[in-house]
Amino acid sequence: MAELPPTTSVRRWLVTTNHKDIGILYTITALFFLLFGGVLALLIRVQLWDPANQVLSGLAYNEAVTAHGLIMVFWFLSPFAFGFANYFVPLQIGADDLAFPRLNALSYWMYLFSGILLGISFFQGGTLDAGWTMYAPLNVPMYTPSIGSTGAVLALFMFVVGVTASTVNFLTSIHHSRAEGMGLMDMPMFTWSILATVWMMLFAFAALLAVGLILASDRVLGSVYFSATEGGSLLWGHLFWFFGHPEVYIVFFPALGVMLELFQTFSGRRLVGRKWVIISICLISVQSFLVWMHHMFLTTINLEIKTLMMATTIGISLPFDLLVFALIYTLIKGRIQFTTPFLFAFGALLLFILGGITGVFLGAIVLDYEFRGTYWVVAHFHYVMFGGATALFGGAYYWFPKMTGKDVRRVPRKGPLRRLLHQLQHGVLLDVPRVGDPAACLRVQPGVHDHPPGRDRGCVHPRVQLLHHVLQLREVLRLRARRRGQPVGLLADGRVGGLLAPTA
Amino acid sequence: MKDYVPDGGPAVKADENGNAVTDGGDHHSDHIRNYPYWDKHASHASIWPFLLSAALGVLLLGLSGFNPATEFHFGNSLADFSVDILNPIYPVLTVVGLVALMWTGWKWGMEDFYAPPSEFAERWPFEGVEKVKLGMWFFLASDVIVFGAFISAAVFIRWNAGWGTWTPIPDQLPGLINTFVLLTSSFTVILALVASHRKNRKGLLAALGATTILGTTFLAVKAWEWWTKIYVDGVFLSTAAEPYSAVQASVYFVTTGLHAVHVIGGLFIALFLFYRAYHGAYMEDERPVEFFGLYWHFVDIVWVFLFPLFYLF
Repeated sequence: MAELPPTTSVRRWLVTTNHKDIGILYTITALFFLLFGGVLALLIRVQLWDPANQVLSGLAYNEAVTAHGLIMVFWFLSPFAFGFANYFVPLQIGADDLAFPRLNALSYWMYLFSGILLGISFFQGGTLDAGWTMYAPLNVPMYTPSIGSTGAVLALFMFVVGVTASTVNFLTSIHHSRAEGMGLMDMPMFTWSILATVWMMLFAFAALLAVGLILASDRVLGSVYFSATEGGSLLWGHLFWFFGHPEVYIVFFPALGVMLELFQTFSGRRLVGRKWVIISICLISVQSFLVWMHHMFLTTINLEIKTLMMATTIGISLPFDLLVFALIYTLIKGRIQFTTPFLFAFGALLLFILGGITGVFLGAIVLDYEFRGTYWVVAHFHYVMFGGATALFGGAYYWFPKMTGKDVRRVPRKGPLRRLLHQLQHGVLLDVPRVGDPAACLRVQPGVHDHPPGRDRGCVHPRVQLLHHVLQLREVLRLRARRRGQPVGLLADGRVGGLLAPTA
Repeated sequence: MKDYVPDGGPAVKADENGNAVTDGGDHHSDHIRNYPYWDKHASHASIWPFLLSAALGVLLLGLSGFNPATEFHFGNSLADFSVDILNPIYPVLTVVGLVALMWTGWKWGMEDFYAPPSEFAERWPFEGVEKVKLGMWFFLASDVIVFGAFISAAVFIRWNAGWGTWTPIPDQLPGLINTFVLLTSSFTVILALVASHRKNRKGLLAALGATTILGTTFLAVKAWEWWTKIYVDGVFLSTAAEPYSAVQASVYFVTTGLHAVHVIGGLFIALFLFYRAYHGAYMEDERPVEFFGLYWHFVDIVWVFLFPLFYLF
């Protein structure tokens, strides 16, 4: 059993250890978990839509919020990124495959089965309802008694075991299998971002494994770590957030790597300040382990330590500034091709800037006291996470031809699908995190761009008006392009004509 | 083949006059032929990752409901020990999963899967480190963090309780004996490596056997220790017994328990190596013995930290 059956057979996909196959498996499975987590998000919105309605019970709502967080952070974002990492890192470093092919397959199957365990936990008396941060003592059996809560914790434990295998694999591969003459500074930016990610993963996920084991011990064996009055709940905070802060960069860095690649390709030039970008990536990776208490500003930690953490938090924002400036200057100094992958990457940068700035405010202790428990926090992390996800989708468009051998299919210019898209564009705004009455928005006619005169026509959210202005601007630009005889819309070579860039 | 790092030599092959060989030369330099399986085709498929993951999934599914499904009665002595099984599904899944995990792990080890390192590569800063050894060191680094977190948790809880208010739960003498036992087993595992390197099958079996016996002795002493604590002093995971608080008991049992789990896992691997050595393996390639030795030393070093923390202060 050492040779591969053909791709059309099921057996092939169960036994393959090939990095490209496993990359594809990760990507498709992650998209499924995106849908799962997305449905949970919709359930949250349904619940919040109207204060009078209670579609879900209180407990079920908490389960939805918890599972939404766990699934999106663990089972969607990172695996989606690692689908690309699996496929492209060996290609980028000139290796035949990852260092440990069976271990690679193991990481994938651990990921899948852990997700299945999480799904099963819903049916074991209800899944965990303690939030994705699973704070103590809410996470002990006295306060979250369902078997499914333990099931969710063990599912996460299994996920982390798989992640550890993947980490060892990527570290060994990147440090041991690079092509001759490819020094670390010569590696492509996506591989660099993955290298930084897996170094952080090595130490961060080990902490999560430990805290997960302690929680599992409390729940399965009956130990009393997290219900102890001698600092049990604070212990959870420290151990979890020591993992939790590097984790958010672990989630973001692969997306950053995709952005770095796409910005270079579609501006036609090497990254401005490439060496400094690499140094910043390394600095952030190290500093990410020095800021965790900024997630704990509302605990009994003394002010001196909290102030130190505020200082380190400001410190970690500095290399991020450099990264953002490097990206922007690369565009300024380049000749931009407005292809679909580029638009995703650029949009990702905009979202990330917004999210990142809100994060800096959260790093101030006194502001944190006010922001805690508000939508400021929710908005901050959703903007940065969506920034990451958007960049990864850009990567999907960018790498789709290479992974499948096919072109990305275009949306037809006419027909019912086009009409539906047009109506959606002009009617419904997908915003983060709130809408007004979406049903009213759907009543807006396509092609009519006047905003309603009063504020009580249903679709009243200011951001909807903003979208209308943006679409008006787009129509103006298109009209200008058409009058000049320039092509408009999706072009054959993948660029989008009729925007600001002068086309040939 | 100790520490062999395949390096195909210079990219341009030269003849004895220093001129480039006209047909490109043999793409294997001389010393790659020293690598045991240099001309073997790389493997691409294995069912064991899938099956092992499934086994772990079953085990964890069983554990999720294990606590509510079972009631353990410790009684006054070991003879009175009993378990009530209220719902058989979860305990059965646990046992089936555990057995399946061991079986799939064994088969994984037995599989003839060949994943060679790159012949030519840039490896800074890890030049000269063999591929699997590098992977093993990365894994051990993460395990250091795991135990670091457990030890940090112990220190944190004890600090919050008032450092001086805790007296050691276990007795010092069994702990000291166990320390010597484990340190000696680290020595015997080195003897195993040397025996393998010298192609001494009997020596390898003897040393691996000694390591296994010493490891088992460690577990036996620990089991006796725990029995004393549970049955004589009446302290266990969540039961306080003067002068120990419940959380102090938890910290002691869970941390040393995690270490014991690592010892058990190591003994499972040692048995696997013994079985393979018995059938003639590790005479040409002693690296698996070395990697096991690295893991075993790690387990030993963790104990060197746990012993003072829980037994001495």
